[in-house]
Amino acid sequence: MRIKSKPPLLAIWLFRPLMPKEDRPFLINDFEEMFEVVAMTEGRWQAIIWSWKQYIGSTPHFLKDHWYWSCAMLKNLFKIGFRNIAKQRLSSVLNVAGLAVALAAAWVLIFHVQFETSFENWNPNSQNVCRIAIKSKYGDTYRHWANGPVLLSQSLKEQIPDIQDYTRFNGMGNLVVSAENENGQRIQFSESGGYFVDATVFDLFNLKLVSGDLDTVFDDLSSVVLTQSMARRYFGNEDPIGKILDFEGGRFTAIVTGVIEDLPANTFLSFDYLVPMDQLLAIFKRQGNEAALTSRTWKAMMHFVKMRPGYDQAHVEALMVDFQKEYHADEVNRVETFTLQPIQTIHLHSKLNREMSQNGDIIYIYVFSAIAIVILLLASLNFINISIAQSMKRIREVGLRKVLGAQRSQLMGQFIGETYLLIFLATLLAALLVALYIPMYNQVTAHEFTFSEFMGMNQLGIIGLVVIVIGLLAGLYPAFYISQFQLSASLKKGQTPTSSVSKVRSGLVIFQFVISIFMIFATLTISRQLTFFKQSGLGFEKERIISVRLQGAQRQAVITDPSAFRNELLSSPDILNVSLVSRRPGVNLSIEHLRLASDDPDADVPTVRFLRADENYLETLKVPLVEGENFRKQDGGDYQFLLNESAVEALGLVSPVGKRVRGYSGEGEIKGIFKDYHFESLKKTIEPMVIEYRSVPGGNLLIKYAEKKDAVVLDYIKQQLDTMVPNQILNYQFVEDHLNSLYIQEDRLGSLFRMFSGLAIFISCLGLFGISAHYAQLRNKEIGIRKVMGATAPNVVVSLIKQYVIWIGIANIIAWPVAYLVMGKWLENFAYRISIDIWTCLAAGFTSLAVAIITVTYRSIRASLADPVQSLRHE
Amino acid sequence: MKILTRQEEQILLVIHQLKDRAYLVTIRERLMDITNRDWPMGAVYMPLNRLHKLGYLDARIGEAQNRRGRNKIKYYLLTRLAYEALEEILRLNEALWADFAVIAK
Repeated sequence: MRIKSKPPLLAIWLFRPLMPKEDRPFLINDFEEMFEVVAMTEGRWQAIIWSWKQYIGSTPHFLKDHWYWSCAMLKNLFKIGFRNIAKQRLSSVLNVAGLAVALAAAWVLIFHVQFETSFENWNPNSQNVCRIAIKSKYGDTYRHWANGPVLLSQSLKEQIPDIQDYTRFNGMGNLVVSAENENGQRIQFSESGGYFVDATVFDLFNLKLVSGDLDTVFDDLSSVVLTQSMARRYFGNEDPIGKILDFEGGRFTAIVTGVIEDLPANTFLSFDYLVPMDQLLAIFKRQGNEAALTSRTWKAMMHFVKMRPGYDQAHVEALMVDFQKEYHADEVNRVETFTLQPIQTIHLHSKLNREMSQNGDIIYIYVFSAIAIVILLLASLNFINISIAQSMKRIREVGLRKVLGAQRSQLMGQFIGETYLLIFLATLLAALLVALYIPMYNQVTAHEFTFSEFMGMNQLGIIGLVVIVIGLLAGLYPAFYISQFQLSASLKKGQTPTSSVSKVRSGLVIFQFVISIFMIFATLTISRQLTFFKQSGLGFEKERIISVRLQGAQRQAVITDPSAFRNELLSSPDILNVSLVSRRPGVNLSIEHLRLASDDPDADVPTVRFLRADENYLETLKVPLVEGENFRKQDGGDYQFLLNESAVEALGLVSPVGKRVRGYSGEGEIKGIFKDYHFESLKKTIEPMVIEYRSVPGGNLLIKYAEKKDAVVLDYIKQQLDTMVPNQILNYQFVEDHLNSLYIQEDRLGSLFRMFSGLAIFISCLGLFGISAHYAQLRNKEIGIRKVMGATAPNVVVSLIKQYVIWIGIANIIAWPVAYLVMGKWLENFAYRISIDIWTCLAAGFTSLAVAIITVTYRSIRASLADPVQSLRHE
Repeated sequence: MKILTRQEEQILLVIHQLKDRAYLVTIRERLMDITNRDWPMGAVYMPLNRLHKLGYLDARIGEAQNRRGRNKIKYYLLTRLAYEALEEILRLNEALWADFAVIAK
């Protein structure tokens, strides 16, 4: 007898999993046989080496074999999957469409939320750079400032060791800037993004110079650093270094010494060009304005400090409390608190006076996240629901497959595979919808995003995760539930499990409608509040007023003889009135103090809003005087003041007209009292306001014109300005447009809610449509019997729809109080607001009911028209 | 008809030669004799499995001949389809090689 030699167990153990299951025993037998032959002819050691060679040599072939046949299997799965989708076309299409729309919406929202929360992340110092915020007490009120005195951060740095460095931002305001471009032409733009800054700004905010030398860029006081886009605007493709920019028609010039990269979109910073802070300090010194430098109360500029890494904010703020006491030792009544604002928190959390740009609001981030979650929840529940309902119809198919020898794991694979096929289609469709929506998104948010930015790893990751979870939930349940059905049971007729699933589904539909009704309610309330903002009376005539900002040479020419220019304009029959003011209606007025001349100059009095205007202001705006008289036209001489009613009340004046008062500029007489009007947006209450007389108050013209003459009047103004100084920009705006733009955030919220309430309704209707089909089928026989007993088709429709009407009723009753509370809270943000009335509730209720009835009618009518013979036949 | 790879063609022909004794071990031995190179068992199995699943080969589970203790062996047999395919290859080769001798001289 031959001694059998066996191949090493390890080799077989490694080999086994490579071999296809069905052929494994044969292959192992064959392997052992070959091993035996080799062992006999060449010896055992050779054979062992041979077996390892076999293992290495065979592995790629076995793997290839495995892949080859799994792909073939997948192809088959796809084929069956597509056939199933095609067979249940309507519900598949609805299912995919519903999920796709919701995914697209969530996609955009996720992108938006991620973008809004990514502010300053690009700055490697973002953890350590803070802004100094100041809270000041005036009388009984507090004001929160983003600005502080000129030397604040310098003094802080000397006192607090954790502060390593600082930089300051001082806005230059709106200036006309001109330069010679590459073709030798003089071009000019009105620029409002200029700042005096310290050279440390490049370090603190990680601003990268594209050209120029970082060490010497601010060495010259008259140097200027441009962003790339501003450099391109003036000099095209030429190298801007060494070029000269002219400000305000020759008032001063600056040499371009550097160009920095454009700021990313996700920053609260907003500037186009930077000028050395030392230049501003030099100007103060030249003007002899020592007070500007030494003042410890003037809210002059923004301060940023770079902290030592790992600093303790509470500790530093405690030090700043001591610092403040010493700092304001000379001003006993001054109550101020300095706090640190990490720059990462500025965009979403900061709402100070004099912010650098329009900030977002964390509340909206919560709202958007909530909407995204709710929409995804609604849609995925729908998807899971419809998937389960569809798979129930396939119990018999499953039975047949089992008879033909399908393994349970294969069946599960098929169900899950098909679900993922649908989800995959929905995701593709969602990406397409996102691509279509991007232009609209860019318009609403005033950004310029591209499709690829929406397809970033962050977004794809979250969407991918969501999709995988939905697929598991929607695919696993039917996969487990159905594949475990007993053969005999699944092949029997009428085995459609109903009651528990139906209850869950009807609860789901009610929940979906609660959300929809809430969204309708919110949308109605927001749009009503917006209409209120835009249409309610402001206490002055905002219509037909053009405001013109005079700049540069233009401004010089007009203010040398304003009344001559005014008469020139008034000679046109279309121009009714002209006034020169410091600020247009709707623009923040400066915050100052006004005291009785007899009062103590250090006394703590409430702040008032100051406007400087000429004698035509009230008439141009048609604001009525309640007491006293208007300004007397005069040059120089005594100061004159007009107060609004709120100011009289706030300052506690009795018979104010004729009293002597003192403002920042000087002392004068209260000439009259005018009626309160909304000089800011309706979100805020009317504050105390003072108008101080100036014959030349500033660079803003307000021009009231006759009806329907806007184009003519604009032409005329341009012509008049051109005759004085040719080739200047006419920087104008209609006051009404500007006032409407104050509500831009609410406008955005409104359009967002309009869109998403539409979406919520759409998704809810999908759910309702699915369930109405389900019920129509369930009650097939009942309807048949009813009809046999003599019910007419309309009777049947009514009896079918009644159920849905009750559901919607329940949904309304749940949604109304929630919506009432939430929207009431939202409205409290505004000083002037609408009240939520019963009509909003009824409108939301009626809309939801109408939509629901339209959705279920199709199925109900179809069910009611069916021939009872058909539905009863099988019994 | 699907054109077979050279490897598959060789395997079919070897199985034809081996008549009813064709299984992985014998097929591999014969292939190594003829082609004079080493064939790892996976390299034989993969085309064998493919041909089987595509219907060129029938499989028969049988006892080993002249060997004790081995019971399960998977024998392969050519199907009609395989003969048709081989005939087609033969016809094609004859046509392709037809006047080779003339030109080469």
